[in-house]
Amino acid sequence: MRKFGIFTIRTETQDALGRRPIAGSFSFAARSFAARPRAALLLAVMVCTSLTGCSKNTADLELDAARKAMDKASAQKASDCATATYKAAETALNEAQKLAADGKIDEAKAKAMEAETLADQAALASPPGCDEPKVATPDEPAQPETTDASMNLSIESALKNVIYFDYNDASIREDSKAVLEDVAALLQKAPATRIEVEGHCDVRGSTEYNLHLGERRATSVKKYLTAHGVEPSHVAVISYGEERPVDLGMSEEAHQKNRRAELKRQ
Amino acid sequence: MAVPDARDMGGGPPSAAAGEITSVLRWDFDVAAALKVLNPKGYLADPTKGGLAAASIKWSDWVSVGAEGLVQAGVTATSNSLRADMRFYDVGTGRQVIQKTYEGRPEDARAFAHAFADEVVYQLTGTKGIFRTQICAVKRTRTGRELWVMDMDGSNARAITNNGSINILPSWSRNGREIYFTSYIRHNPNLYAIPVGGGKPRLVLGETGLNTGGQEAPSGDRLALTLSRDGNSEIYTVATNGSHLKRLTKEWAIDSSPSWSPDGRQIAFVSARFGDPHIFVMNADGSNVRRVTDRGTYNQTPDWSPKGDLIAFTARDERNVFDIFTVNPTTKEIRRLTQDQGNNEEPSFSPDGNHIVFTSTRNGDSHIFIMAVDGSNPKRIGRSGAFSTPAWSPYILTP
Repeated sequence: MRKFGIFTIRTETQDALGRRPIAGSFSFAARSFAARPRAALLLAVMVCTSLTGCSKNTADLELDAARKAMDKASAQKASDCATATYKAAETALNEAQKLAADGKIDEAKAKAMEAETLADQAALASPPGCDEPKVATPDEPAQPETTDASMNLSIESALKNVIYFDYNDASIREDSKAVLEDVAALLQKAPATRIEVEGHCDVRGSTEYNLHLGERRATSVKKYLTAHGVEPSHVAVISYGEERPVDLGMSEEAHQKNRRAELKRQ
Repeated sequence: MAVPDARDMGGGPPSAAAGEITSVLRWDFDVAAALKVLNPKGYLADPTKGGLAAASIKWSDWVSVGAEGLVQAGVTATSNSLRADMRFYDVGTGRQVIQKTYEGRPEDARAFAHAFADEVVYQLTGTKGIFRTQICAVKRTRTGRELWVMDMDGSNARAITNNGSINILPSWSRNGREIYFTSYIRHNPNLYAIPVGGGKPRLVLGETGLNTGGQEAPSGDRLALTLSRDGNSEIYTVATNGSHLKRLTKEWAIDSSPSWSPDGRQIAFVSARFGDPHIFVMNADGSNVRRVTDRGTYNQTPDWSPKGDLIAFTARDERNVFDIFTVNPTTKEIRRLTQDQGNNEEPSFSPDGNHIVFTSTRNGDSHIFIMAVDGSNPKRIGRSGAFSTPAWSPYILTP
């Protein structure tokens, strides 16, 4: 038995690894962390709360941060410019408040952080002037095909959103759907725009298999966009597998950051 | 096996070439598992005394240290020439079995020692030695991934691509002259071939989407590879000039990473058709698909042994660690080759089927290792740096 161990059967599903909660709501915190560094701060506060008892166990901090993010998104007219994402953030915040009221503190924290992430994404996709109606001048007929400066800016911003995936999985997660719906809406308003979806994987698993997994992730994003009205010929896909990680670390946080699709303008 | 220090026939102080020949011979016989090299510290004979010839050897000195074979080398080195006289003796009978003289330049010392080790291994086992074969692997660079080729002991490592792009998944042509690989040099991940000495890559196939893992059939006339051109990753065969594309698999899930059986009649591959990736085998025309790994949940990178009896692969075990295993495609018997030594991945068989090259993180970064096919005698080869997907060459004809 020194050398040849027993190759046992794992009964958990593949997905269980990617989703496996580390401690309570920590797994969701990790996911948010992947999206934005600020959540790391919240995470630190949360750990402090749960491990050392240095402040009382409520979701107030998280709810407060989510409300502030909502206010910022609202001020940037995100409800007009990134409607689906804004609405998803609003829903998440309402749910978080309800969970907090019901005393489900861990769930409320997770939901509040989700709301904050979504609100930040909505704000990101709503640059100044994005809500101004595109009025045609009297001597020029309306040209919906033209992408004016503000539309351009909106698209640039929307394409900055990164779509994250679960381990060994290529399906679009709930937390990415609203963002992709906004991207789809923008692309339909700017039919001259062509994008390329890049699929990426974490560094575990083989080079070749990960290339094909990355291709499936990029294809999933393309399918979601085309299901929401985008012309298939306007969206190209390419996979980089595990060859272009954004984080070279081996932690679950690093892996989550690398399991992603990026949207690039062509 | 006893390998005393190579001696300088001129009688002077030990030359660099003599030292190199000694260390290469010892390393080679140590790798060739059956030929255990006895610790030189225990040798009774004085390597500076006596000659190379059988008549001048005091056989009792070697019998009493337990040697069954004896290799002696005599070197004559000048600043621009090298002559090496190497002999292999059967200690039991006191008979000279092999005698070879090599002449060339000082930098040929390693090659001479490898050539002689090959002769000895062939004499003793009837199988060609692998010591003049090479390994191609991918090295991570600051801007991307480049292909490197090195001798099987890690020496003479050099980059054969240097385009700053992503160059991955190397595999040798059957004649050992070219290496197939996937590259992003023209944005789309196409399949190329490049001479082993480097040079301009030749486009083999540039279908839309992924063109990965091209593996030349034993007949050398076509490749098996994975393409995503039809909207999903499937295995195809194509002539080596890019014509006669033929699709072999048709599954919703990922099918990838084909590896030919040595008779060219079957192909091992990875499929996630039942959910988790597993190793499958099919006939070379795509028929008669059967699953060969029925354990584990994450089995990838099959490489079919040149002997035909085993398929080596990477598996993620129950602790989420990656290790090397072999499976017998007929009996489905699985054996574990690595354990508790970091992550071990991407096995590739030596052309004699007795060794496996792979990457391991046991020393931190991902380095190249070789081991015997039963998992024994692992040795790190080559320099530091992050390497991946090593591919062992076929036998290479050297002039």
